[in-house]
Amino acid sequence: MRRSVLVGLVTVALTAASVLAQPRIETVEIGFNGRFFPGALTPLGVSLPHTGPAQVFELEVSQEVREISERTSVERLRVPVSLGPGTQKKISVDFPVRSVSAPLRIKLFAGNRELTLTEIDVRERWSDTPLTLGLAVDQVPPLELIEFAKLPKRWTSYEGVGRIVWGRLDPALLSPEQRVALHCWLLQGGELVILSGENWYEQVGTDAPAGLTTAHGLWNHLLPIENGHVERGEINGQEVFWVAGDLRKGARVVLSEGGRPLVWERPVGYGRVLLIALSALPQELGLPETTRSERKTAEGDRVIIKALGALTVPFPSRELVGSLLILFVVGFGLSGVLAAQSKRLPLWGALVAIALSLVLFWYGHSPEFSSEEYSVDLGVVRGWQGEPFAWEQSWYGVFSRRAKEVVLGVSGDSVRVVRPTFSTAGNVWTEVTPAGEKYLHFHSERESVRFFHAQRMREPLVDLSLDAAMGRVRVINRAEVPLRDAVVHLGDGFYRLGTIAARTETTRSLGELTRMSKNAWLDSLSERRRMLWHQWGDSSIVSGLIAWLEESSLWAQAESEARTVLRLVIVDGGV
Amino acid sequence: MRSVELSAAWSAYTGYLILAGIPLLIALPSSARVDALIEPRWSMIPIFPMVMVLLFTIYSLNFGLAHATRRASPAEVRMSLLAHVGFLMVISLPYWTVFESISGSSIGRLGGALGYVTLYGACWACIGLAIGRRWTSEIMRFNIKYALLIVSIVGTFFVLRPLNPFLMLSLWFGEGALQWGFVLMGYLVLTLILGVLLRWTPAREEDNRELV
Repeated sequence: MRRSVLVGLVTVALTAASVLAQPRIETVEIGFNGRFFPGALTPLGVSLPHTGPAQVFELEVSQEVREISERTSVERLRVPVSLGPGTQKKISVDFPVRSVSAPLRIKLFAGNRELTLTEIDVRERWSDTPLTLGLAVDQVPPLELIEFAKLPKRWTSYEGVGRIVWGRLDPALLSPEQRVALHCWLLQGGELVILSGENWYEQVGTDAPAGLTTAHGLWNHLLPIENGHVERGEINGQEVFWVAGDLRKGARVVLSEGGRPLVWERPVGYGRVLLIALSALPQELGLPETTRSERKTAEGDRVIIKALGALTVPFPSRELVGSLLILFVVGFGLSGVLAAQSKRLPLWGALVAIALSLVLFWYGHSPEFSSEEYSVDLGVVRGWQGEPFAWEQSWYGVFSRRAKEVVLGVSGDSVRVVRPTFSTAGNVWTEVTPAGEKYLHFHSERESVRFFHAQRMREPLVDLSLDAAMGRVRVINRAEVPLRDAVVHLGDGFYRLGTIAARTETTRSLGELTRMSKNAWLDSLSERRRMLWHQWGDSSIVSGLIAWLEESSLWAQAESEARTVLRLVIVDGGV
Repeated sequence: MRSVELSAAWSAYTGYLILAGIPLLIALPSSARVDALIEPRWSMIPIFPMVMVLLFTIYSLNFGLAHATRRASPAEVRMSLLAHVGFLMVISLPYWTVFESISGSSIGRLGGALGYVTLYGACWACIGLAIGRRWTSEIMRFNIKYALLIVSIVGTFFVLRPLNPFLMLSLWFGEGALQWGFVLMGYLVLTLILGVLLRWTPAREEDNRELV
């Protein structure tokens, strides 16, 4: 009796210990101070304390979304988590919170076993406009005041942020990852408002800027003025610290007060930096409500759907296979003369059929007959002269002839499933490896299509030095593939550079290049290139380089896939 | 020993290949745009296996009838009948291979489906043999075999569904996951029926001899 009780107690103790030793989800931080912009990638921070033995778990974030068409789709992301005994880890991921009415589900798995589930209600936390973050500034609604340490380390976390208002804060406090993320966000269309005035020396530092790799170097690179210094000034009868300086090339004065510049603006990629000469926002400066342009992305979605739909799946072997089969039947019928003399079923008849089957099977699975997948990969790589990053966007559409489970590797920083209204395709889940590689897992139905969109910030593929005054251009192609049919765009003229081989550079005088009008250049483009130019060609660029890549891709290629790749490369000369 | 007249059988094989080849030739795809391929459209590709299984069953049934008049030991009749059914399947393999390539089906599913069709045909060949031995009148044989075939196919849409070849092929070549219970049930029942028929059919011939 005592022994049974003892065994029971030990069993209960072991069970309790194993349950208590399981990791649990302690806290979940969403967005910035809990606020997020629906539809955009939102940073999530999940704290996982663990007391058990070292083990690898899987963290899953998911949300079931009801579409307009009443269909439901599940957004799902899985990240492996390695936890040691007595550790507490904070996992940070960017997740597209697409609906404000459905809860976020956060689960922890050990293998296929679900250990714990937390549901987060997001109904009260969303913002109907992209967020404005405030760093070391007084509250100016609507503003999310955050600590500098909470600034994201990945540019993708900024997707729901429209503007940052920067106050008395030294940029040197930011980590290198935070600086890169901030810079990339600006290049993609972010807006940085710097309140200088009495904050100036804190912001620019006293040490000499040493290029873009240091915080102050980056800051000086972003500022619209050079040789900045603080003066005393007066506004509304009050003495204030007033920043003055020389206007930098490409920058402009947006607002002046008493003949002195009050607000400068400098475009940085698609974004802009606004420098306010005072430490407070002037009332005259009407900052528009931030909006996030989804128009271009939605149009990109339509382009890939149209481009894949227009792709022709070739079956050149129809005649060949048909003729082979007819010959087989005729030959079989005629060989009846031989077979009639035989006493048994002729083995050679079976062997010929089997041999023909093997030949047809081999041929039927060869690319000459047909590929298993036909895909189109269209995109644009945008760069800016003098900027250390280029922005690559890619839309990928694939037509599968056979039903199969697919694991598609993608080297983008963010990836999104494009769901056309006609598609009944099932869900896709994203796996992020510890090295940051992304894999999309999905089931491809027979004769079905799938569409995805990925983007990444990368080192520029092309370095452009365009000296309009001297009429000289220098292009360095850092890509592993040739840059095709490059043209230099300067004012109304298009100068044909031709193809630039991989990893080479060329320096040319514009005078020696063939000049043509924009219309003549457009006429020289193939239909697909023209479609890309109309979609992503930036008409606001006054000068720069336009070229084409036909081989580079963000998407891992399947062995039996016939892929068409086309990237428009635009480098803004900034002249 | 010649189980059935080979020249007549050869004509049957050739006829089978011609009849089955027509839907396959029509089903061969030509170059098309992706948007046309993903639209719901009429296609001979799903019809081809249905035509094949129907023809295979009818030809197997007729082989059974042809074997009914042969005088041979039960084992020899059995072997000859199964050899003809097997040969019929083997000569149609080039067609099935082309079907596998154009339909996007997998080789594993094709193998599973062909195993089922062969078993199904073998059962009907044995039934044909039994009909041939029970009824000597051509018109009776004709009526009985087709009545039985139609009743069996229509009936198994409602009861004993694993014995319906159309349902089973839809499952094998369909988009969804395989229902292994259903598939295994089909195989087991067919194997059982074939085993019973192979044992029972020769016994009837011996009974007849004794009566004579």
